[in-house]
Amino acid sequence: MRGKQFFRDVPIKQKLIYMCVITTAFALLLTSAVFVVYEYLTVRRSMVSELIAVANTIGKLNSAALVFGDRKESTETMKALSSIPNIVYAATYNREGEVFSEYKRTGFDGGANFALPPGDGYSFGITRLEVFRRIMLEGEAIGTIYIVSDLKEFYAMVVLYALFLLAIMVCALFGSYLLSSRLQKVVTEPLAELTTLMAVISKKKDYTLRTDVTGRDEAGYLARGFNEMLETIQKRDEELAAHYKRLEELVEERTAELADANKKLHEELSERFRVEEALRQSENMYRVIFENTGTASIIVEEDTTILLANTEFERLTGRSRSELEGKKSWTVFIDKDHIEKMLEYHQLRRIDPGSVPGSYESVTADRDGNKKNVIITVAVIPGTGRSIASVLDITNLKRLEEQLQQSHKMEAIGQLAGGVAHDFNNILTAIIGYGAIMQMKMEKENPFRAYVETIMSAAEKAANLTQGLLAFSRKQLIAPRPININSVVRDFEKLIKRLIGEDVELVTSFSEEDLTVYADSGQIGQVLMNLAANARDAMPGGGRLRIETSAAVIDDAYIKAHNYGKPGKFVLTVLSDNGVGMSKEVSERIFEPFFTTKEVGKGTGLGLSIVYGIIKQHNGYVDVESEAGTGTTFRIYLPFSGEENEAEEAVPAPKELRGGNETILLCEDDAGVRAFAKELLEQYGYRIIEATDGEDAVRQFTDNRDRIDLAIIDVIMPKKNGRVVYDEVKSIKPDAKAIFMSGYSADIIHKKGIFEKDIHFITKPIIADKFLEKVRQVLDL
Amino acid sequence: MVKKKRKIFFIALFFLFASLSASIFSVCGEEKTVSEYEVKAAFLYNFVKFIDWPDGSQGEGKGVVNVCMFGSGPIDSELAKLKDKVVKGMRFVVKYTRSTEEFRGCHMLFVCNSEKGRLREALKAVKRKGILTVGDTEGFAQKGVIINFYLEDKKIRFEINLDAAREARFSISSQLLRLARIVKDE
Repeated sequence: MRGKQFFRDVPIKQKLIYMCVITTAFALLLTSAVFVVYEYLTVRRSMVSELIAVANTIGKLNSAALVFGDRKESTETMKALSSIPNIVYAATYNREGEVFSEYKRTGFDGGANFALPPGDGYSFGITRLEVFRRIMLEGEAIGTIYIVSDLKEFYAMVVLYALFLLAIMVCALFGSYLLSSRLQKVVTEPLAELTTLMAVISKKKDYTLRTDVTGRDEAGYLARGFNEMLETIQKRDEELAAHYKRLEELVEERTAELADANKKLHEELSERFRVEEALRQSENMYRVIFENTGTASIIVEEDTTILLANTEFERLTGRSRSELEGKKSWTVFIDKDHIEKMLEYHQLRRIDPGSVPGSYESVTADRDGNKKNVIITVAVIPGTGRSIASVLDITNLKRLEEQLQQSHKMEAIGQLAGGVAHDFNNILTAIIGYGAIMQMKMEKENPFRAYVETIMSAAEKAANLTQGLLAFSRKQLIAPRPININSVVRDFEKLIKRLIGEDVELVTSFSEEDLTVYADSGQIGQVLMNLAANARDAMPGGGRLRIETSAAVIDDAYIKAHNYGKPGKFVLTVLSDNGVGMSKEVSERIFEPFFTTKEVGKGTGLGLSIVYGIIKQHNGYVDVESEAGTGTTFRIYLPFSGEENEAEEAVPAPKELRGGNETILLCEDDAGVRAFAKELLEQYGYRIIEATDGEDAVRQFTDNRDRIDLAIIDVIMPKKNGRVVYDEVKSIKPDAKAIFMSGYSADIIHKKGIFEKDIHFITKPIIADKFLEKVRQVLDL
Repeated sequence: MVKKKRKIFFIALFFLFASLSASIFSVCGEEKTVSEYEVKAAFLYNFVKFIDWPDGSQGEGKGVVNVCMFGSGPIDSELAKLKDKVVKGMRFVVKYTRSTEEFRGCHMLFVCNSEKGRLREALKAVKRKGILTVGDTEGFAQKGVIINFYLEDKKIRFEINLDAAREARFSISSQLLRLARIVKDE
């Protein structure tokens, strides 16, 4: 098959050559074969006949010896065979068939063990030719001769023949090849020409070319056919070109139409994409809005089943979306007590949406029963029975609102207390002032003295009540100065002991460090008293109250742990008891105003709130640590001031009250107080210019600016308050001296109720000796 | 056909040979081996094949080989067995002669040992008569007998007096000559 394929692929030229050569080879082979066979047979025959002749001759020559039994002679005769090289063995047999004589060529190792066949004959074997002949004498067989000839010569001749034939064949084939190489051109040249032309045409696509091969043979016929075909192709090409052109025009037309349609389609598609995209974005947007409003929102079916819930709603209810969506009715989360109200609302809404507001307050309850105040805003999604409900947790707002209310309440109480205190102090000033004057002027033996003293002590109690009111409203004036906390504690130790009673042991422990704070010692004392009272109430069966002082540092770790504080050095005062203690809930609210665990009437609910207020006013912190059953510990941090203790103002030994002849402008709207003050001061030699309100005070000062040495200004006055008066006085006469009088702190003159350092003031109710002393002190500056 | 004929011929030859050898056994034997005369008889027979008689010598009695016995000996009986055998197309005939006159018509004359004394007479008688003389006595050949048997290594061999043969115008086959010891007249 491969040969066939190969033969198909070779050029015709080669094919022709091959054909010639193969034909020649075949003819030669056939001839040679016949020749060889003939020669073989001839040679064989001649060899056989030659050998037979030899056998006959030798037989003949041996006949006498055979007849007369002369073996020696016979053997001698046989030696004549040595002249024939092919013969390797010969033997004569006598009539009895015994070997009579032998001849062996040297090197031959066969023997005469040869079963003599009867008669004549030969055997042409592969390697040897054997001949046996009867020896005849006068028509009588007297024995047999047997001759063996090898075939070396024969084969040598065969080889020679073969070589000779091969040589002839090679020469003949070569000759045939040369000849056919020349002769094939006659056939192949026109074909090659045609082929080349065909190649040129198929390459250039030029169908105008023609072949010039002529002749009446097949090649010529092929050439004519080829030319005709080219003619046809050329014509067809031209037609095709025309068709093609027309088709192209048509296609162009159609393409344009198609492009148009395509463009329209594209526009439509992109429009649709745009719409879809917008829709998707819108959907996304609303989903994001729904998810991220920060308000718990749900979409509910008409039957109140939750369709969608957002993360905030999950948080609110403490349930995952998969637990909610499609499974729960949202009324499940409404507090039992509020469901009726809610259902009523929704019924109303269904009847007439305009009749009810869009939202309402309600209370939810999570699975642990924790309640939350919420505002539920409901809107019906148009075209569906669904509603969207936003549940806004206002629990914290509610609480803040309550706190604000509380704060407002406090503020109101403060305002009330301040207002009352102002007028009350003025009244008390008159009472105490005139009382004091009365005491001064009364004879010691005067029987009414006891009444006056009673009046005085009652007035003093009234004054204390005013102070208390001012304290919890944080409106009281404090006069801080650098003091050592240890000394404050020591000062109040006795009072505390008396307060806590004998059942409770007081243990104090003071640090030797510098514990100077900038504080109002009276206020701090009140703090201690309030806390001690609290401790006492916590230890109804007795116990131990411990007060310790130490230096402390508030660092970042502390701030982190307590969520408040400013880093820095502080003075720490710790009050701890081993009483009943309190729960966490209680301790968390302990500083809230009016929060009390005590029975009604036993406490005001203000004690610890006052503590908190005072410490705050001092820029300090107070915290509580308590455990029910083990006791309570309060820690008070006050900023360390580091200022030297004011040399324990040499307690002015009860000295003579000194007067003077200076001129004092007394600005006081309250007539009683003004009269009392005027009288008191005039008694001690001072000249008094009175002013009844702020404007009057300024006018008086302007008129008498050179005469006035000191202005005593009431803080709260009609028309112009004390602060304004003071500022105007200062602008007229910068070195003017002034003392303010006040019953409580108004923001007019100070911040946070603390006086500026160069401002002097006297608290109402005015105590005569303290008043005179202050006046003298300021005048002497 | 030929093959068959040949076969029959061979078988016949075999029988002939067998009977011949049997007959030789009892005739012309001296105190030597019986087979000696048998062989000698066969030799006599075979000589015919290798020797050509001179022309005209067989004019009388054509188609017959007359073997004449001169004297008597153990060979007689052996020769008798060869009687009527055909050799070279001729019948083998044995004749017994007493006198030289009886030699007429003989082709071969076997001079027995017993006639040693009459050898010269006999040889004279056969001269130019074309009669092949054969003896088996030592010295006969030198005395003019053409072929004479002798023993060598217990084998029967023969000697030929070529001169005598030439004189008698016998042509003896070279083959035969090669086998024989050639002697001359004394």
